[in-house]
Amino acid sequence: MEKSLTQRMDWLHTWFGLVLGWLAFALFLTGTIAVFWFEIQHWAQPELHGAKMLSPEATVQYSVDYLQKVAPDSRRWTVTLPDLERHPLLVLSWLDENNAQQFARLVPDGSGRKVTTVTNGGRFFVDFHWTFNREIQDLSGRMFQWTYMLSGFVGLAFLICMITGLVVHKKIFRNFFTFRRQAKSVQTRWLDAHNVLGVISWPFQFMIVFTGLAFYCYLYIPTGMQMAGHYPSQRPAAAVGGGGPLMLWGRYGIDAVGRVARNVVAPGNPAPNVPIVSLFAQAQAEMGVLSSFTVNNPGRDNATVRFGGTFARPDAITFTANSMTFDGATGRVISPAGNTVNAVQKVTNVFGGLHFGFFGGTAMRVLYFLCGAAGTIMIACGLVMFTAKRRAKAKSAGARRFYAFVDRMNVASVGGAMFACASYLWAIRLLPQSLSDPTGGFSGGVYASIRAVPLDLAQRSDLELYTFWLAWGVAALHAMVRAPHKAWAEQLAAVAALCIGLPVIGYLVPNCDLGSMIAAGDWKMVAVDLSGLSIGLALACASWKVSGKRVDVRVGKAVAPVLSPAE
Amino acid sequence: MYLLSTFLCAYAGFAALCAITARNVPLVWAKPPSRGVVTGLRTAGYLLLALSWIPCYLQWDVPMGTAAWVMNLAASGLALVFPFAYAPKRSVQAGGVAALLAGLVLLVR
Repeated sequence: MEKSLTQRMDWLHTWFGLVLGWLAFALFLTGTIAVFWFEIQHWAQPELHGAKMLSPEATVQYSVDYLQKVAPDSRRWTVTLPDLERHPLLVLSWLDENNAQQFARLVPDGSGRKVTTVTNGGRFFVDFHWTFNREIQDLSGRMFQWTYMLSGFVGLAFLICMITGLVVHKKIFRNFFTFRRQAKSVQTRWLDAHNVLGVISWPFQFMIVFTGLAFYCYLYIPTGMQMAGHYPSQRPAAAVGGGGPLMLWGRYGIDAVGRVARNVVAPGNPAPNVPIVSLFAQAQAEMGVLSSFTVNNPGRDNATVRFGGTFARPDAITFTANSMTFDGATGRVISPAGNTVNAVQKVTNVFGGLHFGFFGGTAMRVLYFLCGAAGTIMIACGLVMFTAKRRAKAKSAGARRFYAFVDRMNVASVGGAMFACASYLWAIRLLPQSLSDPTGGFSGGVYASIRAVPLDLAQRSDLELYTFWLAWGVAALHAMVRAPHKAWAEQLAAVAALCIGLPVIGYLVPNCDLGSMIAAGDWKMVAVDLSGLSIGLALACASWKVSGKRVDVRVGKAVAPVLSPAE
Repeated sequence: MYLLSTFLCAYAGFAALCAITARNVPLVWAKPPSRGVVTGLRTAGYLLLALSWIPCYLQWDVPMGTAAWVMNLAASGLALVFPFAYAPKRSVQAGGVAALLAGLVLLVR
């Protein structure tokens, strides 16, 4: 029998949606959380909480004074300025007498207090979102990694599901506002929820998945880049005094500790330098908010000072960091500000800028978060619907077994991913700071990648990741052995308890309790705690609804629990 | 505050369109609305959705504002659909209030 277009698309939507939906849920969940990764990074470092920050100019002066004291004869200083709005951490690094990299992480309040907590923080969610947490070589390293290929494939499948979803929906406008929460068939309720969430947020979902895929298309289809390597174009003039390799999208461009720097310029003769603060003011007037500066040969007649803007620009949809270089001895501008980017970079700016959502401030990120959450819930509804639709119609024992398996996988993927994320946040808060690796944290390469090390050698950042995966494993096991409708309720309740507990466990750790943070006006930190609390309450409500005490049991008619197989 | 205005304006637009969607008419109206009312609400609905771009533009200019507008449409739409399933009449009536508030917020911000 010839199948219609809709039927074919329905098949594609169903099976791509189901199999890749299990992974897509985790990617959407972590991507949604990653919208606030700077804030979570701040939340994860108790030393920074509630500190009274210096002004940008005072921070620059403080950094210069500090470096003058610890490394007056260094060939290079690099300062990563705090993001006062989102993650106010000051990172100073310098080359020691052997030209090896050293650094200090400081609270930017002028007290000289060090930040000793080394944590994956919010960055973990970013990395998980596109690599499932496995180490990736830098772009020139060209190490093939199936993890980012997999996430790319999931993204592509999601894009296909979005388009096939429109085809199979058919009544998009007629059912645009339709959510029949009291529909007789359970399937209709889940279908409506899935449809409404998907259709209304469709433009956003398309934008976010497409830009994510397009931004990294050179990873997913690497041949072009590999071939381009055979035909080198004229290289742009090397920026004077670049620090370590800048992470592609990080704010922190700190090289590995102890690595001997290359491209170090021989020192000139001692000479008075123009105060860096005045150059900073000049650069800031030209480029807006600055995120870093590098001084080569400070205090010499061949000193250069390079100021860098940030990839995470709040005022434009872009992904190119601006920079400007001065002659440190005379204050003359060596290379002026202004991005000279080619057409490809301009397009990449749009993709990267839209996908990473650094622009527009907190209000914009709230929108990103809400739309991402809508997508996440939409995937979960679709997964649940798969069995809600088919279970009752299962004709054979084999089909019933398969639907029971799908039910369990749904719990393991949806409940498990949420449980793992919540447990990870608990690990951040409760693991002792003393486990931190003092030299770790800002090494080159991808930061939050999981390492296989013996437990006694594991550091705090390793243990955080182990907690994540262990929690997911436990949740998956639980989903496999427990009846699905019970497993749903229990896992949702467990995640709810963990989320509601986030502000509570803050009281066990110095400088993390909600009360004093509100008093100190550290709203970044408070917002993370309160978001956890409200998400927890919502999940508690969801758990109660699926626990069998459902609101909508028809009088005189036994209804099987929504999420269980027809046993 | 601009974002609040955008949100309310788009909510009002969606509410107007929601009220005249065939499936929802019996949930919202005691007797079916006349053709004039339907046309009026439809025009008002699309107009309000379009107008909700303006506060975004004022806050963020064209590129960022348009991105915000698209995301806000999703947020307002979902903020209407789920309450509508519980209290159809009130959710739609809230649209009228939202339209007034959207203008007010823009004026006093």
